[in-house]
Amino acid sequence: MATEFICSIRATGGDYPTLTAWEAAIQTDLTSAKTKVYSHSGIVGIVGDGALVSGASSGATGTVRHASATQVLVEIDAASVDFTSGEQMQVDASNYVTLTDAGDSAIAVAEGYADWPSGLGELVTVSGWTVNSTNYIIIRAATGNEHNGTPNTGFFLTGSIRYGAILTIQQDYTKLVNVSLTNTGVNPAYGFDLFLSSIELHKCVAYSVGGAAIRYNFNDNLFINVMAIGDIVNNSLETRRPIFKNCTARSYTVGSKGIEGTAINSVAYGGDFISNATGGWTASSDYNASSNATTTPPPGANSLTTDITPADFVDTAANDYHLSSG
Amino acid sequence: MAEFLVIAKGHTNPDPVIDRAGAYKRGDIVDVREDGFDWGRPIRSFWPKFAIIKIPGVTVAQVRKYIQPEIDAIDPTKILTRRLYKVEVNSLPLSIRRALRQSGTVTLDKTTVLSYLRNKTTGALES
Repeated sequence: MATEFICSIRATGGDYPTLTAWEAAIQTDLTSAKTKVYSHSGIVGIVGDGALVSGASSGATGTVRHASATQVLVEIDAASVDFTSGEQMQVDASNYVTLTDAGDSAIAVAEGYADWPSGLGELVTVSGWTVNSTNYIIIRAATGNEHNGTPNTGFFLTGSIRYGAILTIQQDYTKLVNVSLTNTGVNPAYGFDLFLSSIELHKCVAYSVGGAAIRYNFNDNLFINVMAIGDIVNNSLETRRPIFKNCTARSYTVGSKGIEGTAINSVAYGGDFISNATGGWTASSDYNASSNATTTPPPGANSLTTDITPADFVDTAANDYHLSSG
Repeated sequence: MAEFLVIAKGHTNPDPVIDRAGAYKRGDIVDVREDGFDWGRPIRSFWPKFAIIKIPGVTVAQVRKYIQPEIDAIDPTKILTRRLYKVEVNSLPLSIRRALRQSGTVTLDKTTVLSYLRNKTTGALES
């Protein structure tokens, strides 16, 4: 188990004003036994990012990655003992936090707020960290700041880039939850670019005006309740075992070396479930629908064999691909 | 005026390829924002991880190139180095480094900043 170290991304009054600043500040080896998150009772003075700190009782020493209002993430020096609950973690006698627990390994979390009516304008790359399946990265919308299933709502990122993406993830195990983004760039342009394995998207909205909404690479990426205004494409012949559950996208593509993907309860509103693979879609794939079903039936015995149409959605002209009632 | 968010304390990844492509190094410019950008909390609290350098008379558009990575010429989606340019922090005059230690920020004119901005690939300074 590990403890979430949560930083707020806000226009003002948060831990960081941009995701880029957060990523640069927290970038660390989350898997190290010497990287720990502690709870504290409040910051006295200033405990700056990168500050050298010592334990008033234990004599432990380390470097602060960041101190939020209630937590502090610290890299403890290799030869040091750990900090202890109840002691002051001090920059000096006037600048410190008082720890209220014995610390734990960390999951680094960025929580975005809907503080930008036109979106948070930046291109973000998450890279250079050390992570594993226990200690990883989460980027998510804060509670009450989620999108409504359509682009440019709630906490969302926006920008324009060709040959790139709004959010590029180069760390295994990263989880993106309720993240929405829009790329207005000219094709080839991407919304999310998932560059490693075991990356998970939950309830995300990806909109690429000129290109693919999501591009994925490598293995075992998971897409659940994702709304992609655009295609979901693979970049590598070696991509293996993507899983799409309850997703909507213009089309889905799996790789070309007999490497299977799974699609369940998912909709291709403007194309197909494309298989360049010998193995194609797994036997678990089922209950899918597409706009080309009569020509290329979507995978699964229980998938629809009739074409879906724009009338099946609330308002495709407004990029609202919620299923219409009736 | 533009404002640079500069790495004063870098990170090292044990994998040399990831380290070069992903880890921010001392002097890398993480972000550039318009004059008066709200950094959300006291600038002093970004130090010593970051330094904020303010440059009067320069627009974000004019200096945005300094946050670009070094890109592979064959595959333009592949990053070779996290940032192509860096501020030679260690070479800054002592008075500037003292100011940074005290407040985490300093205001410099464009000519001064360019004289400490180096292209990592070519090794050339910008002025």
